[in-house]
Amino acid sequence: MKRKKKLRSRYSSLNIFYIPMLLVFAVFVVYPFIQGIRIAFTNWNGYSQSWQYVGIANFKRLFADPNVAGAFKNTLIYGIGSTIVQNILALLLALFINLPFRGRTAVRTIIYMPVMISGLIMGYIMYFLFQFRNGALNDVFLLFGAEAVDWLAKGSRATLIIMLVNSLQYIGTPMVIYLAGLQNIPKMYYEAAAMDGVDAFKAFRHITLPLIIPAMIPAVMLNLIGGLKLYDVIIALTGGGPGFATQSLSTLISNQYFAAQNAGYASAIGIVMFILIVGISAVVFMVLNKRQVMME
Amino acid sequence: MKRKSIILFIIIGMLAMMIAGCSNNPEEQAGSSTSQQTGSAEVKEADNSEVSGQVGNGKSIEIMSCYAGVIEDTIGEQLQKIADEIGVTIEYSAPGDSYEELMKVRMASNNLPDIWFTHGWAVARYQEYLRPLNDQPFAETISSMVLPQVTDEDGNICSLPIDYEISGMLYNKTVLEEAGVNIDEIKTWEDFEAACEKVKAIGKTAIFLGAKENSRAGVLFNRLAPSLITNDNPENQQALLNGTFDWQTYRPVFETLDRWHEKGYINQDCTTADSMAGFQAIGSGEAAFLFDGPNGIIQAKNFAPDAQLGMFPIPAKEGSKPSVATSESMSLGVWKDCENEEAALAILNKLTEPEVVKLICSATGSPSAVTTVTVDLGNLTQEYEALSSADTLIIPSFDRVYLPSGMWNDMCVSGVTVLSQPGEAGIDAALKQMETSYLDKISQQ
Repeated sequence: MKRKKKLRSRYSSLNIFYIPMLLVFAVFVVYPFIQGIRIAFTNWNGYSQSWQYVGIANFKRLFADPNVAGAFKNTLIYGIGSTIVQNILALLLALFINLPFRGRTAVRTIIYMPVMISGLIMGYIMYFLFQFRNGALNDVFLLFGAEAVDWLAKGSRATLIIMLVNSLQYIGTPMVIYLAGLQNIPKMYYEAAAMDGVDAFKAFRHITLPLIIPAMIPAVMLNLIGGLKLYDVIIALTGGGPGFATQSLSTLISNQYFAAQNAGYASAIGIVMFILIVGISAVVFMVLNKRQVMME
Repeated sequence: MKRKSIILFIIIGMLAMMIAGCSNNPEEQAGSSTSQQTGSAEVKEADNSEVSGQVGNGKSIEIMSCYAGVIEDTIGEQLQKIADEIGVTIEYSAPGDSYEELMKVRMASNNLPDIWFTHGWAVARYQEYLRPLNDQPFAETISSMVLPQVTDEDGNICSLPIDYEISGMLYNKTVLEEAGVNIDEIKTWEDFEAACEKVKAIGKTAIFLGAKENSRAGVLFNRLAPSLITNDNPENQQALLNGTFDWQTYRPVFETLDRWHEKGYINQDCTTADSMAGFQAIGSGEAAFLFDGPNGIIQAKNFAPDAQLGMFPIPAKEGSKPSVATSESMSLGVWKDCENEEAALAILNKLTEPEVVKLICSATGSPSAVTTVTVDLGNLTQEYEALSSADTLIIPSFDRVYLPSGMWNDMCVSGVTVLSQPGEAGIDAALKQMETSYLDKISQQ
């Protein structure tokens, strides 16, 4: 007890190093957040000096707005869909790269490279792949005598394409995390399993998977939050269209705030989106945390 | 104790650096005035004498432009020359696509550039922040084709237009010749659809729409809607302005677009092609018609310099006249709280000099809005003369006059809604969207 008190007082002076960051957090996160809540109860157009309080009218409107419902659905697809695809593929890639083979460092680097490109640039690159006229994919189709397809014209297909583009761009991040996790699993477990005649799949299921959960938590959380907030890839590929078909809550907020000049309504959507991201992230975190197996 | 002092010193130093980094340059400090503009009585005293001398007083003028490419290069050069002549330092920026968003953020914080381009929204959006220009020498020289659109309900001239847009629809002469269409015979929408059939019969796209940028749908409606709803119809005009408009009256606009789509007049990838694809299509002779203004001809010729392109008046419904739309184009306003007002007004006055106006109009391809300056735009001059004949109605930009500010986005998206949901379902959804937004925006006024 005395020793704990001594340690605490010895390092307490270091706590003042938190102050600058807390100030930055307060000014750039907390204050705008509070202002956003205030704006959500007004009919402000985003640029005028005059506005009025309208109570919960914006919230009533958003729960009845089919565009918000559509954006909400898309947000879940981008968030949860991307997370599932990214983590399954990333784990498989990590397992592959964990094997000893020549050039594995180069392979790892190549897989990671798209993470370093801006989402907007990736979206535009992919637009040239999927566009109807002179798109690379349709050029291949035409080469084989098939008809060109307008890949981004149908909302459901375009949403899937956006989800896949986002998944493939950021697959490098969970892959690196899983690779670190795999390399932390003691080899003795596999050796013991091999001596007991356990095959590769059973070893993966009963050894690798439970012990990789500590790595899975940050990988899933990063992908989930990134996917739920997805913006730039959507803007580059479809602009949120056709119509509102591929809008996420992020792009809808931007559209309502700047284009439609409904800043109050956009803020209300923003608050709902914040609650959604916090809620889903918290649930996923709790579920994964419970399954964490502590290594001895 | 010594260690604590060192730590404290480090913390104070970091805080000081943060505060220095976050503080404004005193020269950029915004005026704190938020008073509403109530008319010409609030106009500050200005020097009406001819501006020729130096007005520089060590302060800089911030100018923000919404243009890009050749036009931006031209205007930037001219502004720099003028600034050098009158002895002022300018901070000139052209943020491109994010211009409107940036301007809205700056309006919200009441910290605006000294001069900015109002791009057609001088009255509908920026009025609250603009200094009236009625007392300036150039006020008497603004063309009547555009003066009403930069003048608010109290008679304040909100911005200085250098040129103005006069536009109908673009067509490719070669394609129409091949299809056997005589452009002079297209007076009504029935004539137009008959022409589309002929173009379709020769395997070309009749109407190209690049609505991946949904603003292209808005541009189409800005031409289609007035001809069906407000031209020669004072009741509809009044209803739109006073908030009593019945949106079922707007149905024919969406039905027309839906019909064109269903009949195959519009390109297959209308919801995923962008505007550049449209300029390329009409320039290369792949498409016959494009809903765009004179800038569309300039853009199309970037792809195909030898393309034979022209403009014709927007067709009308039976019994009405074809029309051409005019709107402010390159137009500049001065912030009402500008600290260096004399220099800002001097710049605006210099921009109306003949050589400057000619250079700008040649870059934009639009006629001069300054009546004392005539600009020869080559082939385009003939096109404009043909457009503004006695047989055409001159109409303002539909959304800026008849729709509340902020409805442009809904007008654009509603068009894509109709295209992506063919039939009554799409039309009903689009109408509901327009009506909801209209009532919402009217209630904000």
